[in-house]
Amino acid sequence: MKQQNYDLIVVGTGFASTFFLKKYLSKASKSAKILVLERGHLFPHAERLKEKRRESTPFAKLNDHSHNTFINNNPEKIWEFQAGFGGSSNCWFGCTPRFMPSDFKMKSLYGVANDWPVQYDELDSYYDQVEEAMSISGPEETPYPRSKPYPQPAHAFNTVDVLLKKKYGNLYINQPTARAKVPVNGRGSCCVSAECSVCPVNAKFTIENSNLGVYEDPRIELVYGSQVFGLELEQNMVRKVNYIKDGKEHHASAEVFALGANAIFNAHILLNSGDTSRLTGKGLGEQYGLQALVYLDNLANFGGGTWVSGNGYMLYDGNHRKDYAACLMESNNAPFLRLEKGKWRDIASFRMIFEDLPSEQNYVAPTADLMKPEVNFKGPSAYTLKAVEQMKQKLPEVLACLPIEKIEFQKPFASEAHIMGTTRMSESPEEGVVDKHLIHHKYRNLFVLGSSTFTTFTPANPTLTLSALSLYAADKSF
Amino acid sequence: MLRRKFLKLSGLGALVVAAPTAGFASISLKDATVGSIINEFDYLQLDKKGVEQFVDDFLAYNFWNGSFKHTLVMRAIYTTKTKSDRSVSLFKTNMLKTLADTYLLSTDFFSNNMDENKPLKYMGLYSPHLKPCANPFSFIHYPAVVS
Ligand SMILES: Cc1cc2nc3c(=O)[nH]c(=O)nc-3n(C[C@H](O)[C@H](O)[C@H](O)COP(=O)(O)OP(=O)(O)OC[C@H]3O[C@@H](n4cnc5c(N)ncnc54)[C@H](O)[C@@H]3O)c2cc1C
Ligand code: SF4
Repeated sequence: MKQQNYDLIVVGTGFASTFFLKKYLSKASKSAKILVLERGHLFPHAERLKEKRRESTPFAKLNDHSHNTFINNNPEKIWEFQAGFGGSSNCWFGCTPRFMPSDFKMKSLYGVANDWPVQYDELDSYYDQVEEAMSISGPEETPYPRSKPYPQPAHAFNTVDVLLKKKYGNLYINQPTARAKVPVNGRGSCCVSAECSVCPVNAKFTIENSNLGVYEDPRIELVYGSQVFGLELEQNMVRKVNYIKDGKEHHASAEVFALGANAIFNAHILLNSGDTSRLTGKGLGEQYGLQALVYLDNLANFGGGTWVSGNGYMLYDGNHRKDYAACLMESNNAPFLRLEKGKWRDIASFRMIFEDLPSEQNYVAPTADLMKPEVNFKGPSAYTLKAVEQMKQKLPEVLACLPIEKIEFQKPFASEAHIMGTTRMSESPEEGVVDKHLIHHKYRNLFVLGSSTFTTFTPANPTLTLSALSLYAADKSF
Repeated sequence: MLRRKFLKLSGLGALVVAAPTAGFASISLKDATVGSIINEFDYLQLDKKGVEQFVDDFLAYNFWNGSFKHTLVMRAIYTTKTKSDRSVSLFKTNMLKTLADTYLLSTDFFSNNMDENKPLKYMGLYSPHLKPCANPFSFIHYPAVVS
C-alpha cells in the first residue's frame, strides 16, 4: 500500500468493479488515488488454456476454488463463480440480453415483489456503453427498445432458429452476446467450439482482454492477494477497509468505498462489519433452469453461428407474471447428437430459464470464521415452480411449427451461475439495502455493486445489466 | 463390405464375443471402453485400430483412467452390452453417451455427411481446446438449410 488515505477504495476486479472504475476514472482528477483490493491473482487466458489441455501451469493453484470460500448448508444447490483477477469474467459464457422494461416494474405491472427504483429508460444509454465496450454481437430487432444498433452483427441462426424466427418475429432473436462475431481488440471470432468457460480462440469478452485500460491507469494501485473481511463503520460513514494479505491484517482509509465482491461476499463483508440493515444478506437467489431436448422428425439441425444462437421470448412477458414466472429460451449449438441411425442431428436443445423471487429464507450469514460466510438456500419459489409446470404444458404448442417427435425435459440444473439479491436496491431503507445509485441507504460513502443489488431476478442473464448499473452509479454520483 | 465380413477381417468380432466370458474383474478399462463403442455402433463400420487409438487418447485426456467407479461401470456396460438408449441408470447412459458422442465426433463420420455405409476413420481426439472450431454442426461446416 503506497498511501495512507485514498479517494476511492474498490473491492474486487470483476465486471461490477471494473465498469464502475471505468466511469469513475473518466470523471476523477488527474491526481486521484484509488486502491483496488483483489483477493486473488491474475490467471492469464493463455495459462488457462494450458490447464484445459492438461499441461501444467504454475497459475492453476493461485486462486481459491470457489467451493472452498464459503460454507454451503445446502449441498444440492451449487453457487458457481471464480475468484481472482477479472472474477467470473474468466469463466462466464458471454450471453448478454438486456432486461425487458417490464422486469423493472414487477410490482406495479404484476403485483409481485417490488419495483426497481431505477427504470429501463434511465439505463438505456449505459446499456449502449457496455455493449460498445464488450463489442456485443446482436440482431437488428429486439423485444426491448434500443436507441442504437448493436456494435457487431448477429451470429447465424441454426435450422430450428430460422423456423422459430419466421413464426415469432421479434419474440425470437439471435442471442445478443459478448462472443465476438468479428475479431476485435485481440479477441478472435467465435467459431462455435462451445467451450466458452475458457474460449479456445479468446472470442468472448473478459476483463483481461477488455482493452478498457482501467488497471493500467497510473491512478490505480491494484493489490493482489488481499481479502477484505470488513469495514470500519462510524455513524453513517465507512472509515476504513480491513483485509488480510500474506496472513497479516491491514487497514486502509478513503473518502469513498465500493464493494464489487459478488452477492455472497458483498453481504458477508457488510455483515462482518456490523451493518444493521434488516435485509443485508437476505434474499439470495438466482434463476432456475432446465434443458428441453426436442426430437425432430426428419429435420437436421445445423448451422448455428455461436454456442447459443437464439433467444426465445414466447414464454417471457405477459399477464401470466401475476401468477407465475417468466421463462427465457436459449437455443444451443453444442455438438450434441442423437445416437440413432439416420437421425444423428434431428434434435434441438433449449435451455429454459425461469425468473425467481427473492425470499428471506435464502440468505448469507457470517460464521465464526471471519473469512468464510455460510450460504443458506431452501429452494426456488412456488411462483417459479408453477412456471416450470406451465412451460411443460405449453412448449409443444410453442414449438408447433417444428416437426416434433417428442420432447424430453432434463433434471433442473443445480445452478444458473448467477448470484443475486443480498443487498437489494429499493426506494426506502425499509425495503432494501442500497438506493438507485447503489449507495448504501445507511452508509452514504459506500457503493455496493453487482447483482447483489438486483431487486428481482428476471430470467435474462445479469452481467450486462449489472455492468450498466455500475456505469450509471458512477456517472450519477461523481 | 458385409458387416460380418468386416468384423471378421478387422478382428473386432472376436473381441466382442470373447470378452464377456472372461472374468469381470480382469477386463481392463481400455478393453471395456473399446468393446462398448463397438457394441453401441454395431450398425456402423468401425476400424479396430482407430477405435483403440481413440480409446488410448480419450483415456489419457480425461479422468476416467484411475477412477474405480468409472472402470466398474464401463465393465458393466460392456459385459451387459448396454446401449446408450437402453440403460435404466442415468450415470451409465451419460457415460456411454459421452464416450459414443466423442468417438463419432473424433472420426470422419460428419465430414462424410453421416454416411452410415462408409467405414469410419479416426481423425484425432475431439477436443475444442486441442483443436478449436471443429464443431461439425456449426455454420462453418453446414449452413442452416430450411426448405
Ligand atoms: C460458468 C459461468 C457462466 C456464466 N455465464 C454468464 C453469461 O453467459 N451471461 C451472464 O450475464 N452472466 C454469466 N455468468 C455470471 C457472471 O459471471 C456474473 O454475473 C459476473 O461475473 C458478476 O460480476 P461481479 O463483478 O459482480 O462479480 P465477480 O465476477 O464474481 O467478481 C468478484 C470479484 O471480487 C473479488 N473478491 C471476492 N471477494 C473478495 C474479498 N473478500 N476481498 C477482495 N476481493 C474479493 C473476486 O476475486 C473477483 O475479482 C456466468 C457465471 C459463471 C460462473
Ligand atoms: S462458442 Fe466457442 S468460439 Fe465461441 S466463445 Fe464459446 S468457446 Fe469461444
